[in-house]
Amino acid sequence: MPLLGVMLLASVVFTLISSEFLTTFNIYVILSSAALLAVIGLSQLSVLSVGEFSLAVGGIGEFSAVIVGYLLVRRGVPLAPALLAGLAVGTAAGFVNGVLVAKSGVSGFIVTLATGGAFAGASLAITETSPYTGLPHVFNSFGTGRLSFLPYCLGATLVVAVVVAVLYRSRPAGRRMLAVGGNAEAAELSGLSKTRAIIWAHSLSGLLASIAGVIAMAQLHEANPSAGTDWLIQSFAIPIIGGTALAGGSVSVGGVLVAAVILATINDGLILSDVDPFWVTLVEGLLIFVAVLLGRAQAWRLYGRALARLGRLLPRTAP
Amino acid sequence: MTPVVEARDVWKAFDGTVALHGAGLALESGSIHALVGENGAGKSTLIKSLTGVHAPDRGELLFDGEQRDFTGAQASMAAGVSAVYQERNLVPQFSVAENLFLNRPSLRAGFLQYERMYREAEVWLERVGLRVDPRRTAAGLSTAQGQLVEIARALALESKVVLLDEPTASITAREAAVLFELLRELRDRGGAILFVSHKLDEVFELCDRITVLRDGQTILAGVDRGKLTQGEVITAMVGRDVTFSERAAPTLRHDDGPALLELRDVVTSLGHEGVSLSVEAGSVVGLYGLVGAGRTELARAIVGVEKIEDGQLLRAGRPVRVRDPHDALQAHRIGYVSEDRKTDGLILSHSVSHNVGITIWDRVKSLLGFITPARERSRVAPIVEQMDVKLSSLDQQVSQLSGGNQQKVSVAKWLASDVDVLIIDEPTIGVDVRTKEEMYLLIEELARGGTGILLISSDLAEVIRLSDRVLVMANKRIVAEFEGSGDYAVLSEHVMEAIIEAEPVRETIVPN
Repeated sequence: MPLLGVMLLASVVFTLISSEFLTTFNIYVILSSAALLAVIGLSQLSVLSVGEFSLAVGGIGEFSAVIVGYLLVRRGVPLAPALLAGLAVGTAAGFVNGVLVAKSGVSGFIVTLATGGAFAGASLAITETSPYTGLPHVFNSFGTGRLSFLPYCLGATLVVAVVVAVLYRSRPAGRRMLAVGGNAEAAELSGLSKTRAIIWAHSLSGLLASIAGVIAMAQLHEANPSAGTDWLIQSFAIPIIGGTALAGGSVSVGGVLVAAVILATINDGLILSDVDPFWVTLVEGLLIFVAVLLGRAQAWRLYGRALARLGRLLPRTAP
Repeated sequence: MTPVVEARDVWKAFDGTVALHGAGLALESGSIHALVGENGAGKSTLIKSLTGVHAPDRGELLFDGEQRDFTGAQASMAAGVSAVYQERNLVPQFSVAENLFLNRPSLRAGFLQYERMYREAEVWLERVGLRVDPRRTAAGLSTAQGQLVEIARALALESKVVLLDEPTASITAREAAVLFELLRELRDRGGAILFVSHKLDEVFELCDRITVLRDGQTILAGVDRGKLTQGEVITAMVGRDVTFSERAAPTLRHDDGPALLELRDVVTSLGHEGVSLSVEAGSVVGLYGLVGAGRTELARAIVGVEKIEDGQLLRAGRPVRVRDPHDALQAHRIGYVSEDRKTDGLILSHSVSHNVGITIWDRVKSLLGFITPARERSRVAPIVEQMDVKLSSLDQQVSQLSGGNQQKVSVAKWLASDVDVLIIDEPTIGVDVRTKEEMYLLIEELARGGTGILLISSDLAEVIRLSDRVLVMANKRIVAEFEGSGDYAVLSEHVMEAIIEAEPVRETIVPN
């Protein structure tokens, strides 16, 4: 609820600042960027659910897109099998991360830092740094086509979000991930495998990252090997602002959708208001910080205690 | 009759520490079997070996007479063994109902059926006498409620073997009575139940057979309850090989003036009642009791971790209020060497000099507030030397030291801080005989220097060896006090009698 408040407030401010803000085209721009951001956020959300995290979301995303682009442009593979291959590569990449994290005992930070870097490097190597262009027309119009203010790709995002939400709410695999994230020892003593849950989470994250890669590719009309470079902060910012617990055990898919729209709105508004794009990243960082503070009951308790202490001091200073 | 579950000659070590060596246990159907032993005797390890959570290094596990090796909790549950472990095992974000059915949620076409789980959970919650909404999350449950949810979970599996590791540790007498009724019902239907408890009156009330573990070995194996007295069980539990040197002559007492630390009718938030004791300068006061008697909890109340709700805490004759351990140390000069040195007492990844110096940082810092390694070392070095800690240098990481030397460092930390009152909790758990002896000399030397020492230990020989006065705690009350004569044969008998005679405190039963 406070999130929706933030969004409304930002919209009102931007409407006042810029006359272009509340136009059909601009709303399309916002929603289209939110459609991509939401899937990036979901990719991180799925690893957060088990209490892990991934620094490889961007790397896997751009690598999958490059694979799709290569198959389409260089090999002339038809669209559907090329896309399936891309998603399979993303899932496999996530699976590898999961196995490495769960079985090797090396921290997820190191594992995903390394693999994320490797995938990003592989994308640059395969493309020789120049994007694959000349993608099928249908595919491009999926990325940038619209019905009034509704981008087509938003449909894909909503389907993905519903599937992820149902998985975490009602499917045993999703519940197992959350149980491990909530209390890994309890889950294991109840016969749920922590290893399996972590592998599941990373594989899902890989699949979602590759979907994000494909959406980005459709929006850009090219398979760009550095499309995922900026995804790192966003992938964390969106689930955290949306109320997903960093420590695991609780996720909010709805929160991701709202947070993606907020972030997209603020980015768009700042650009329309002629703010330097570098400041936009600063604002993203600040938003994460505020969201984490708001989400911490402890912070509120500290605040309450400080007030109480102040209250106790005051009478003493009075005459 | 073939036992349903049998463990034979089980061995298990963790990182070189032997938890079980040659433990055995046999459970028969239609019987409630007690497993008792002091802390660290290996009860929980044995249970986890039975359920496949730990893989034993050696030994045989038999189910229905056939050898089985479970590879994890899932396998043992599938074979009909359910367990309530000692740690609390709920997923805080999940509803009570989902926690109840964590390993086998109700499904239809692969989707969870929450409404059905809520309905079924209600039945089980009702049976264990827990009135909570199955839809609420487990996060806000009290410890007792959480324990009952776990008991309900184990019972809901309707297994023929149920292992309960201290199920009554945090529930009230009335809740325990409901549980006992359920367990008897289960037994009468042919269930095999293992019941771990430190409360011997419960054990004697409920169980048909008793197995006693001590130091990872089975001392009494499935003896008929009728053939044992509580005294015999306690002797089996604590009867350590007593190898200790003569008690030193009673230390000089500085009897003039008020006691350094005195408690008058203290009531704590953890249930201590009417606790009075005093620690004079230069004396060692031993506080003995079985595990669960409330000794450590009392120490934590003294240093301000737990709340003192009523009564007085006097420091050198003046009533004081200790807010937290920092306050205890800085304002009242009371130090506490904790029982669990790994989690509470030491920062294992830091150097020896850092760990010892931590209590005096406020005093060694320079005018500008910097703590230089040189200043720290100059204060720390003499103390470490005095304690004869085996180390390569003061910069060595504490984690590289042996257990005994780690314990010395955690005591050295308080020596450096130069406190007036030192509470030492289980100073020699897990250390070898030689280090033990060194630790004793150190404690005596501290007392000679005028420090008042409150020694908490479940090693009776140790308490008798060191104490000028022995206090016996049971059920969170001090039930007896003896002058420290140093005579083990006589004193130990008196102390055991006091514990056995101590009336168990029943919680007040509040009618609904």
